[in-house]
Amino acid sequence: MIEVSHLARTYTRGDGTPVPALRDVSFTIGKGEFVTIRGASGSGKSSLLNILGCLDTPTSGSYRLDGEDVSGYTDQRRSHIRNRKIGFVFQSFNLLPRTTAAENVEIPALYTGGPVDRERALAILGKVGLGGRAEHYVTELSGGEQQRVAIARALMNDPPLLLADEPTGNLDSAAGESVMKLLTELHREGRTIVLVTHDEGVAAYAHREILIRDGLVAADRPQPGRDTGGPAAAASASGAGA
Amino acid sequence: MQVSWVTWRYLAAGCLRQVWRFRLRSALVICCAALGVAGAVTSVNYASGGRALVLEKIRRLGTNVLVINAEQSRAVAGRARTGQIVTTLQAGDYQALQREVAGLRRSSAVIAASLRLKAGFSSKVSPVLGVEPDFFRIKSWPLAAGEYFGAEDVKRSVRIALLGHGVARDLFGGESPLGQRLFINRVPFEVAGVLAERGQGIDATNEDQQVYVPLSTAMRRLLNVDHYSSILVELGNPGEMAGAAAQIEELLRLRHRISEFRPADFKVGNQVELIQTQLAAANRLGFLVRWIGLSGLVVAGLGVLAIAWIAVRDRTTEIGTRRALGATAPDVFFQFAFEAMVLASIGATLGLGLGWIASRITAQQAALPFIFETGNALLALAMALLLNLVFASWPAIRAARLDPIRALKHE
Ligand SMILES: Nc1ncnc2c1ncn2[C@@H]1O[C@H](COP(=O)(O)OP(=O)(O)O)[C@@H](O)[C@H]1O
Ligand SMILES: [Mg+2]
Repeated sequence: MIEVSHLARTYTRGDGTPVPALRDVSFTIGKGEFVTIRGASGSGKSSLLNILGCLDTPTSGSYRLDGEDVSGYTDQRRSHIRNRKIGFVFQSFNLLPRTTAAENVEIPALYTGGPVDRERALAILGKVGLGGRAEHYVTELSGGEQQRVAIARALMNDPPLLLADEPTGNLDSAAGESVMKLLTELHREGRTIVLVTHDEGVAAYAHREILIRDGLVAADRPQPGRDTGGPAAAASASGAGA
Repeated sequence: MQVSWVTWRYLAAGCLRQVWRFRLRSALVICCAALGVAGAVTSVNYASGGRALVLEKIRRLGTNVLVINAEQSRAVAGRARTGQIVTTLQAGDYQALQREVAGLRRSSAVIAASLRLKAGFSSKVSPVLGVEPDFFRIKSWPLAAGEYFGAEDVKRSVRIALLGHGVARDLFGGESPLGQRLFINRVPFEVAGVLAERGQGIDATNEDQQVYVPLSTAMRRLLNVDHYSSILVELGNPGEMAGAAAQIEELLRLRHRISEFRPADFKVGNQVELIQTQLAAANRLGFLVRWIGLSGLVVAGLGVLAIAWIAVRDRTTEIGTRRALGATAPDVFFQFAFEAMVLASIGATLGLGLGWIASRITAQQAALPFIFETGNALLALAMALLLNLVFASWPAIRAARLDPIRALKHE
């Protein structure tokens, strides 16, 4: 699913000084894996996830997604890839205010060029446990519910890859746990999930953990995972070896 | 850079939802665009009304009318006392004019004086003019009611009067004055007619506040004089004005024995000069107003720009989110430009209606003819749409160019 090799990303500050956020990152993530990227604040986790999500391009190195080398793609092509293949979940939910849950979920469908399938949006909301809240304005929902709307939105175009940057960062522990359970369930259905966190408790839900320190991979090791069995376990093992 | 038509259709539907989502801001954009168009339309129509009024005055006055006024020779201040009535414009002069001026079509001698009017219990002092029947033809002045007096009435010095619209209203109120008795300086007259309302004349006299009686009646029965205040001369052809004026000047100087080096006791005026001054002023106003209208549209466009700019700033996170969810830069541009254009178009169209209403009101307030220049209004609409497209594109381009990652980090 994901192959990065010798990935580097250097930002340029306003005054021209370079900031190396990623130095030399290489790893492979197989289809159906549930991986956390963990590290201290400022270690380069978000920079890495932005590249994996085709929001950013690496300064050097290559990134292959589904066998395609997307590191040199134009903004337009990367937008289409984000639309079809990637679902984003953000730390601060990023739902559109003054908009209902269902309308938020429909957004990715707006950019596919096809019709917007309201039934599908409602079905996904039902699946994340918010069937009764479809017509509620998102500001009326609790944090945990908002994050679940955001996950439903990420699923709208049925992308194979889900990327989440600190999805539980703004939630209390109970809501965080329900969100992690939902992600675990999605993983069990066969979706590839890459999750950024600095929280070891959250990382424990996954099957594999990539530790980032100062823009380098400090460790890449399997985790026990809380959901045992399912197709992911095997995929995880083969992905780590690839 | 191509975005499929289907995408745009769904984006357009989504945009309308955003218009409702930010309804206060949307209302502001609509107001901005509406006021710009309404202002431009109203000011242009106002100027056109003013110009039409001048043209109407010209039409009423005629560009082929000369007025000979008996006048004090002010230059000889030592001898002539101001306020002294000049009595030198007389029947002999008038006959000579009628006989000799080339191209003369109509004429009317006029004697004017301010006299007391009395009808029933109402009373007022008004200018009373003794005139000949052609006076009203020269002035192209129709009647509102009753009948004109004719040559026979002048000949027999009949005591009948035509009332200006204002005098009729002041003396008789809502009642019909026709056939009623009117005392002018205690001499009884019968009201034969009421003239149509004219408004302020080009020379600032209010002809509606005057009373008109046959010339001889005024001279013999009211004032007992044998001179005229003025003579109106209408020529067959406006091109002969200058020649005729010179001819009259020469003729009267000769008859009054005033050498061409001394000030005369009369003045030949043609109103073309006055008209041209007013017309030029009206045209200048029209020009000015077009620029004001255009700058109004630009200011309104800048308002739209400012609001769209604020919208882009406030919705930066939303833009980043949409980009992350798959919106391309053109999608984002389309969204913001389309939103602004929908609102600006609604506003500009409302502005047309608003401009129509405002034009009516200002025309009424300023006593101008109501004119709605459709061509100019549509031009204003088109300009507004074009300006708003340009002005709305700028923030939309900015939105499209935002780096998705930075936009997402924006708080
Ligand atoms: N746009 C940017 N310009 C300059 N420096 C940046 C930019 N984005 C991130 N950085 C820097 O890159 C480093 C890694 O940031 P980030 O990937 O956000 O880390 P993390 O998500 O692990 O906290 C940090 O030192 C951060 O200050
Ligand atoms: Mg981060």
